[in-house]
Amino acid sequence: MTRPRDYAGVAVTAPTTVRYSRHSERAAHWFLGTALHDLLRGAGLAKEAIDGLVVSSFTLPPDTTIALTEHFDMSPRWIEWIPTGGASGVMALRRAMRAVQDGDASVVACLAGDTANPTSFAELVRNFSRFSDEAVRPYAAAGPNGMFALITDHYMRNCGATRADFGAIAVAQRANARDNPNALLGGKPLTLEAYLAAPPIVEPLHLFDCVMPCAGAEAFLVMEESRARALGLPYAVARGAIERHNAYFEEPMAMRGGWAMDRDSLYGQAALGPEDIDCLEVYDDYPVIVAMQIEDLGFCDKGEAPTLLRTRSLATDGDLPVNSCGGQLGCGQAGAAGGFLPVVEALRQVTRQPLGAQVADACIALASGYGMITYDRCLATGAVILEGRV
Amino acid sequence: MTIDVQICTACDTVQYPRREVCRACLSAALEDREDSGAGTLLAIATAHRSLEEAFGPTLPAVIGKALLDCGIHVVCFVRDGSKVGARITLSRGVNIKGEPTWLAQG
Repeated sequence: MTRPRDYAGVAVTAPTTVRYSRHSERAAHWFLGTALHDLLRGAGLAKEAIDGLVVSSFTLPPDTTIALTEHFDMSPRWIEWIPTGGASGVMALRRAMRAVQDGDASVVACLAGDTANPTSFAELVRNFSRFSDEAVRPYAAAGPNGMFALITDHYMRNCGATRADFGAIAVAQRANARDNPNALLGGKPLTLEAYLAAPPIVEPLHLFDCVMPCAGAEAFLVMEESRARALGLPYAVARGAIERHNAYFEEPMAMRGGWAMDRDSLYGQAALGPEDIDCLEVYDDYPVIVAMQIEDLGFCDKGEAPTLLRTRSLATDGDLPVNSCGGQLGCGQAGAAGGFLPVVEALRQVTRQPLGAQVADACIALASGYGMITYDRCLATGAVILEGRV
Repeated sequence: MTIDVQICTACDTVQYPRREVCRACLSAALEDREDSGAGTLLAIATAHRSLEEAFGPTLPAVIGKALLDCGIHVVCFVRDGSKVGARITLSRGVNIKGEPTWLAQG
């Protein structure tokens, strides 16, 4: 396989979050437009400076990126639409970095956002994929909870994980959310006892294994390093990045994701290893997926995450800080913005702009994504290692 | 009793969920063939919540993932208390909405 080129000369900057809310009467266009507004204000740029636009959203369709150019009176020379939910942050970043490197765009605005109302999530699940409609939804229409309950059950049996092991993730992330004013659950402390006593949703999943759908947006800018420096913006560079789709499709139960297939490429490109990562921002639709990413990204061997969770601390001041802003389990899942959250939080940490707690001396962060369950597992995976240039 | 599974007549690859072209060789020569429906339960989960009101009266509902001997892996209902690792046979039924579903029985 060809070793990918590096991302030299490209800056990721201006981490931006549009405040999450449990429900909203506004359209996705409002969240994405507000994200762009706040992005420009934060970076001190005029709208006309943006000549590349990449968008991810579940509730924007039938509109896509191209429609937003008209909504926002923009004439970019490069656009992308990334309909891959939880993997959209890493994928947007990878594409934007190459566009800037190749001169197809100078400043790319990367936006993800969604609205939410009491019926929008059920609507989204009902029309999610052809396979799901035939082979998943007729089985009690449990939504993603059903398939991830099966993955969790299988992982627990094969790796010796207990509910308390997953509880350690939920409790740590809730504590990490405490200082983050954008975290919808940040003000509600969670104990392991409360986690274990929570009502069942789809056993073995209980209430605090499941993210709370909400509305919100996340965004960042990609531009040449020289421009970021000229603008006086703290920024990060990508030391390495990977993506993989439909990995291990021959395995009947998902025990690992595409990260395991590509992590040597990721760390090789970065000339770094897991031991060099100051904070880990992973996609956390369910605790079992956090455990899988910890394994597949090389922080322990396959099946050893339960042991790791019993001996190490995922707290912002712990020895393995994970999801320092609280992740989706602490903040809520703002649709596709949940797929941007690991990238935006990694960028916040290494540029010293956290909404909540700062991981002390964080210079290098790993952000990973996981998205699109069209049958029994998510298909899209990706990861990026960001190093701060403050 | 047997079940129908979709198979490629060009390369004999079984398909699930149903494809328009073969998942392996991309041939459009797909047809249904009879299969014993025998397999093994890989995982189970108990749904207490549903996104659709229609399923309310059926809750809690036990769903499972079964790997059939013919090679496909399917989501199914499990109503007889079969455990993970058990040998099961799939049969065709309908859910409360009248939609076709798989039922695994030990």
